[in-house]
Amino acid sequence: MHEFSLALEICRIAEDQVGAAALSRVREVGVTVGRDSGVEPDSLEFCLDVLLGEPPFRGARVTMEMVPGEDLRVSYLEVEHDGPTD
Amino acid sequence: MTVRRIEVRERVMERNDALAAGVRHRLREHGVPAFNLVSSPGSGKTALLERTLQDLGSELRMAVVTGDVQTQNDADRIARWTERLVHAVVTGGACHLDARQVDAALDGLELSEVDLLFIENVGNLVCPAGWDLGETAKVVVFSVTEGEDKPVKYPAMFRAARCAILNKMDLLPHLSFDVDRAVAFAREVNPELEFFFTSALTGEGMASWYDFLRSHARTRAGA
Repeated sequence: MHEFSLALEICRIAEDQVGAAALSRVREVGVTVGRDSGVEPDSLEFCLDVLLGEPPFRGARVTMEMVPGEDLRVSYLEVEHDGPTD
Repeated sequence: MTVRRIEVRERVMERNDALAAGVRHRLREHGVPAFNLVSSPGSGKTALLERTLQDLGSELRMAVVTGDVQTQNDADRIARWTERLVHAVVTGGACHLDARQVDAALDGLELSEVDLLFIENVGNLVCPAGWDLGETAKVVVFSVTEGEDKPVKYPAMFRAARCAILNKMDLLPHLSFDVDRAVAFAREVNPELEFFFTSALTGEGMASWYDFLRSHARTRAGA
């Protein structure tokens, strides 16, 4: 399925950004979907939910925003940060 | 424990597009035109390629990269007609080829000895439209056994293509397919589409397709 390979790519971008070791600490993935991109947002969200619910991820939330244009982008990542000892 | 936000703003297609640009550059460097053949399953794409390789093989050095979800059947058929088949990408589930696969396939080719490259994509009229492979042009193949309205049902693909081949013309007497209507639908979506009307089986209409290929290929003078 097309949206599945896009979801895989989003996960790969996340890994590029934070490193494989930190993927379990990703709490939110922000995605912007261009209205003319041909991407079906519900389908993409479904695929992403599947992937983000499996190791190396540990259940990150997906936030999807529709925007003008053709591009599909990973907009931001929210990552848990170890602060001083809890 | 805090949550920090990392701004990314990266296009998901960025990596594929960068690889595609690399492929395009490599092909241009060697003067090799590349045609990305796309269609739904059963349009006769492989038969068309087989016929092309058979008829033009003594004139042009043609290489082929083929993609299939499963089996090597297409690759095996094509291998009979050219020594320059490079994988068979068996995607094992992916519904389209991507630029990474084509880039890797080019590593297996001596591009200085290739006049023309065909990329036979996975049979799928949807997904390949969105994946640049670094090709010179997409050629969309459809056939008279499909609906005339194929182009308007799959506009992204017909818009992305430079040429359309309407295949299986030999079957027209048995069908109620209206060729003019199909062409009109296609031109509605993409007025610039260059059309070929072929039968890979009988050879009808292939001459125009071959002229098109010749005009794009680099022909080596002498041996």
